[in-house]
Amino acid sequence: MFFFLWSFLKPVVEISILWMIFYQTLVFFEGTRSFQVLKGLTFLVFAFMLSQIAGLDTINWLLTKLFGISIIALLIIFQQELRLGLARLGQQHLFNIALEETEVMAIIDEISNAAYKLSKTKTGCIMAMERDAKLKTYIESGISLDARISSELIQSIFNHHSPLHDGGIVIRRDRIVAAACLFPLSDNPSFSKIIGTRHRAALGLTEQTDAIVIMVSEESGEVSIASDGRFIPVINRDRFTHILKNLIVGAQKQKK
Amino acid sequence: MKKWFTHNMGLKLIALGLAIITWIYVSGEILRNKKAQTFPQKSTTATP
Repeated sequence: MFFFLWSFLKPVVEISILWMIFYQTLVFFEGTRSFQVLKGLTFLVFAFMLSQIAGLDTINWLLTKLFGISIIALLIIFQQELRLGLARLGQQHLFNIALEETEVMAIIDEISNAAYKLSKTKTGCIMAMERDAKLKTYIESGISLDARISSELIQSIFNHHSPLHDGGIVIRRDRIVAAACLFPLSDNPSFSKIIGTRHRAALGLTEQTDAIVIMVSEESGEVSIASDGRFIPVINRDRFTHILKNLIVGAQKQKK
Repeated sequence: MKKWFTHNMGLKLIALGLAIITWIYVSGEILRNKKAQTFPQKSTTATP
């Protein structure tokens, strides 16, 4: 009886597993440059399967040869994604010893205070909060600080007369570990060319790592939050605190 | 549950389509190989 039932259930289980793998792959690549390549690749695989089913030997031969050559090309095209995927597999939990909610709220309070004060004076700033993925490469591009986070310190760093105001700061737990850090720029074609370099840097960093990036626009004084390669709309200060709390405390709770 | 189905539905449908096609293709290949092993084709060339 069990084997009889299993013979019916087996295809469902197998298709479900394949579905999950394909879906996760598509989600992983969604919104990146490689998504277009993935679409093209899917079309080629389709063509290959059809040519086999229809017995189109010439097309089949050509596609088989093409796949052989394209493995190296794929490794080069997906180099960044493969690196990121492998890095995420081996990631350790950031807030290794999770911060207490009150500590997180104090950090958020200092950041939001600084961001909204800088926003009032239309002073541009970019702050990256490290989560699981270590931002060592970017920290090394800047100037080491290792100071306890405070609104006044952030405002001093981004003051136009400060030698550290160019570039971004990196926050690890409750400390500003470096300032004047260079972040990678996003070249995602789906974002309008109107967005400035600071916004591109925020997106670039959140595309390549799981960091949360907070920035203030120099032109409009608008405060924004970026995470996972996307901007999260911020309407007011309460919403800002709420989003940041969800991103940090929510992630900590998920790990528990 | 409803939210899970409606969230990112386009990608979910594409992934399901790919999963079904892959399963059919691979199952067909496995079946063909099994058949080939069970009933090997007789060689038509003359052997000395």
